[in-house]
Amino acid sequence: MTAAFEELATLDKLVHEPARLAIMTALSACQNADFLFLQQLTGLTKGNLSSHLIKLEEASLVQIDKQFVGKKPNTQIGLTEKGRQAIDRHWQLLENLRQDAQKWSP
Amino acid sequence: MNHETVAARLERTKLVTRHYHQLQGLRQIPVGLLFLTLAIDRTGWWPLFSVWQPISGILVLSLAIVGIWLAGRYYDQTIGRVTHRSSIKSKVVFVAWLALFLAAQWVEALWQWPVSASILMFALMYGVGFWVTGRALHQYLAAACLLVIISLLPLTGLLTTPQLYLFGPESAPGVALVGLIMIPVGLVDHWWLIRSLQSLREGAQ
Repeated sequence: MTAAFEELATLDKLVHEPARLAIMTALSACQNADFLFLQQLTGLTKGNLSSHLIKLEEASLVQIDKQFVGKKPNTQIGLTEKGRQAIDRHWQLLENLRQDAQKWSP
Repeated sequence: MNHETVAARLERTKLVTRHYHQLQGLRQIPVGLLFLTLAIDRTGWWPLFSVWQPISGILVLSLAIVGIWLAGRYYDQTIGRVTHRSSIKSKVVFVAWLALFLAAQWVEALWQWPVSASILMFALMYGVGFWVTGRALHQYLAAACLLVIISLLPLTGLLTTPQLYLFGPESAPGVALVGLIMIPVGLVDHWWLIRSLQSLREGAQ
C-alpha cells in the first residue's frame, strides 16, 4: 500500500487536472485538433480552454499553431513528444493505482 | 465522480476523437441517396434519367459530392477539425476491401451464386468498421448483420442473385437496400457523435 501512495505522489498535477487530462487524452488519439473541437469536447469556455492550453504549452506538453483556413483563423493543437510520453505515463500510473486499489481489503 | 466514471469518460473522449471522421454520419446520407437514385434509374421509374445520360448521371454524382462536401463543412464549422496520423494499417485495410469488392463483382459477373458476394462485401465493410472502432458502435454490427441476411435472400427465393449484383441491369433491389441501410447508419453515427459530445460536456461540469 505504501508503494501505491508513493505512486500517487508522483502523479503530475499539471496533467492530472480533469480539464487538462481530457484535453491531453483527446490529443493523444490524433495528430492534432483545432480549438473548436477541444471546446466542443470539453465544454470549457474559450477563456478557460485558452488558459489550460497556455499552461500545457509553457510546460512543452502541447504545440499550438495558428493558421488561416480560407480567411478564418484556425488554431491547431497537438501533443509534443514530451506531452505524448507524459500522458502515456500518466495513464499507466492511473492503471497501476487502479490495480493496487482492487487489492486493498476494507 | 468515481474513478470508473472518469476512466469511462476519458475512454469515450479517445473514441470520439479517434473516430471523428467515421462518426460524421451526415456525409453518408448523400452516398445513400445516390444509391437510391441509381435504384430508381434501374427500375425505369424515372425515364428522363436514362434519356439524358451521361448528363443526368454526372449531375447526380456531382450533387452527391457537393452534399458530402457540405456535410463535411458543417462538421468543420460546428464541431471542429481533427487531423489523424497517416495510418498504413487503415490504408491497407481499405485497399484490401476494395480489391475484394472488385473481385466479388468480377466473379459475380461470371457465375451466379446462391449468395450475393456484392452485398457480403458491404457487410464486411460494416463488420470491419465495427471491429476497428473498438466494438462500441453497434449500428455497424446491426448493418453488417442485416446485409448478411440480405445477401442470403437468393437462397429463400425472395430475390435473385442478379437483383443483388450491383452492376447488373436488374440490380434495383440490391442497390436500393444498400442505400436504405447507409442512410440510417449515417443518422445513427451523427446522433451518437452529438450525444457523446453532449454527455462529455455535461460530465465535465
